[in-house]
Amino acid sequence: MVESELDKFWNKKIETMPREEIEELQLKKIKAEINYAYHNTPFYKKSFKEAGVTPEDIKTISDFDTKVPILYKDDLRAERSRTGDPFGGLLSVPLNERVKVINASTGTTGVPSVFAYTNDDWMMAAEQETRLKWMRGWRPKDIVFATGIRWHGYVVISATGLDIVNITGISDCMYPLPHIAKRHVIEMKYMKPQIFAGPMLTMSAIFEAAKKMGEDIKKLFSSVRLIDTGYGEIVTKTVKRRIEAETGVPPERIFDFGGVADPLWYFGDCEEHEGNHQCDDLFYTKAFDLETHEPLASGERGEIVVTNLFAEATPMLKWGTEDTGAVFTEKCGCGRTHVRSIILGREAFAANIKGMRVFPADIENILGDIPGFTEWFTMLKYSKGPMDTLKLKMATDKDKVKDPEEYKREVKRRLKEKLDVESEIEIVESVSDLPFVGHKVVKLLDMTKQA
Amino acid sequence: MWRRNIETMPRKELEKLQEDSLKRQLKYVYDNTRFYNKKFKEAGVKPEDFKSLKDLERFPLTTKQDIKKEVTLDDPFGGRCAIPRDKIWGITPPPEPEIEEPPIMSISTEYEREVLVDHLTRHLVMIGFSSGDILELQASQWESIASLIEGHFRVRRTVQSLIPFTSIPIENTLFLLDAPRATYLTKFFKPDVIITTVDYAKLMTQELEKEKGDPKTAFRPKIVVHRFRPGSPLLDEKTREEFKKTWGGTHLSMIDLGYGGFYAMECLQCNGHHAWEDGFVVETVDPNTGQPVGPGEKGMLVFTNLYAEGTPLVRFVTGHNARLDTEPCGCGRTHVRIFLE
Repeated sequence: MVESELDKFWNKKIETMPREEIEELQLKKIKAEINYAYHNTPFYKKSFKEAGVTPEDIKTISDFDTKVPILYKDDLRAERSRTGDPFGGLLSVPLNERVKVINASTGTTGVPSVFAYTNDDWMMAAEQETRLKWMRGWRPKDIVFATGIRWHGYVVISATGLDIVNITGISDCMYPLPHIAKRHVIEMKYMKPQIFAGPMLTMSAIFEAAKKMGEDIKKLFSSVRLIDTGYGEIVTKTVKRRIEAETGVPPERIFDFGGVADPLWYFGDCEEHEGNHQCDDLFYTKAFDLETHEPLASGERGEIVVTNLFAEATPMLKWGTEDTGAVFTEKCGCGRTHVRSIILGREAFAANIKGMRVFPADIENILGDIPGFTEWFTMLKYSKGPMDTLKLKMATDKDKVKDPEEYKREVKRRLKEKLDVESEIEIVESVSDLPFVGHKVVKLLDMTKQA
Repeated sequence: MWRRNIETMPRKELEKLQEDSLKRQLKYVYDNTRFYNKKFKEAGVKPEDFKSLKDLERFPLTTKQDIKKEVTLDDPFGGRCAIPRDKIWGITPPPEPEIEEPPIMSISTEYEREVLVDHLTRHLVMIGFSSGDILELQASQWESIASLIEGHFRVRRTVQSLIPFTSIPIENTLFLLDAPRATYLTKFFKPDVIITTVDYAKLMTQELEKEKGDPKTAFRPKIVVHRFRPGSPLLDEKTREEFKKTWGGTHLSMIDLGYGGFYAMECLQCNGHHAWEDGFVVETVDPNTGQPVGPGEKGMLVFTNLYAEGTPLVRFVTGHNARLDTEPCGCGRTHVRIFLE
């Protein structure tokens, strides 16, 4: 059935709003949010004072881009260890009266960052969620097999989105553990969902479990119309090809979905697959130069910085995502006018090899077409400064790698050829043998910090 | 009390209510599910044969094995689904962490959710939970308890929309950083009620010991509910005493079987798990003969839900031994109390 123009959008008027109007709306909301934060958030009172800015100084979007400092997780960490407040001074409403949910982020460093949300925060996030779900083709009466982790902020918003659109959810745990993956296989086999939603790591565990159980993965996914993946990892072409090879679901029906849980900022791609759409009436997204922190024009590469335009409990102005990417303001082929972004990778995940920065995405580009290559690998950092060799721990697709030694030789040859580095390769038994935090494989493991 | 007139209903009235509900429910499952239609016919009973509560024993028991036998790839509910596709609100996977084929999947409707939210609200109010409190709920993503207690406020009804509270969700599937995360959040926010499981609570104690912390001062717990669920042990008296010593505070036990929305919780008197008999008929039967045991005697716990629309259960054998007490509790509630043996 061909959908009418109106059915294509969840909220057509807003999603196709002319850019000047969006920007006008954003400026209005930025001003209001700054005013709110300045008067209610201990952290911003302090940081605005330090930067010598008052809300009255912000008259245009360019004022906001240049005068307000970028907020980093490290700033909050410093504030937290100084005051002992887990919110790092961000909490702006009385905890017991207004806060509905307290979420702790993944906590890669051990101590989680804590954020709080009010009723209205969740409602706005649910609007964003519903819009993005609709855009990716989720429709009423679909059955979605969705994986999640209880403490993750996305779970409640996602469930709310399902309720609004009237989609039936089967919810299960996201952790890629063998017994959980077995649950997933059995549930999918019997319930035949139309949508599969889960990160690649969970999917890999499902493939592994299915093979062990003697299930045909293509058959298992035969009812699946859409695959929704990403969830914090970058969905490259290699990844899509591998998912297609395993499941039979073509790349155009594999959607990239991601975001940053702390500012409730999520994005996803539409059927054009040309960058990830955002909701500009709810967030202000811009790329900034990594060194100078100057705002960048559409398409230029830098750090993605996000401002939440509605948060009450823990306002987030110019939140530095620490992800390198680009933001595009051009209208998308699907008709939506809000910005799209692409994300290349985390600055912190780049390994320093002889002074050269090697991103996980670089490795993937170089090795991507070796048969049996999977995106599951960890680079080991074993010295504080530049390293002379690249040490990699990799999981492979065992069906395709007949001779692991030959595979290692090929990997080493290519890395030598493209990056001119010597490498040490270790192949692990299964994906779950790699270090991971939450549902994400650790891309760069700092061995100097390991006992 | 959340619903005083129901919670303290005289037993005669309560039993009358159950009789009326059962008449309707037995007819509903007979007319709408292939599974029970066949089962009743095989046992030679008809819904009309049910005239008073005593007649329930003539109806066949339902074991997990009975359900599994009927589950096929084409009919994953084994003929138990009683509603059309568009009435399904949610699909619940089996509650056990490790499952085997064929799985027992359940369906719930909007109405069932509302009944269960009401049940859990009664339980939480019973243990003194009130609006503005902080609740830390440790559960696994696939369990339905979480979606009934926490969740969005204006979109669907949850306990949180009835008693506005602050929730701290924690994933209960034991994994890497989760115990430290739970410990950190508990230490800082000192929730008024913690719903945990015995083994997870022990893990949090270990986590605190690593940093030489003491749960008594670090968590300062008021009420800790230990959930007995598939894969997690029951809070026995010995463990309860240990927790009282190490953690301080009140430690209560809760039964969450994960099937049929059956929840039961101890009140502050710690004298048996309260189940809500306006929603369930609870029985104990001899595991060998299937015949009901005498009042107060030990037997296999069996329940029938009176409100379910999606995948109703009639005389479902839980696999746990229990004693029942129908005397009114010291707290004034008249509904049955369950003692797991």
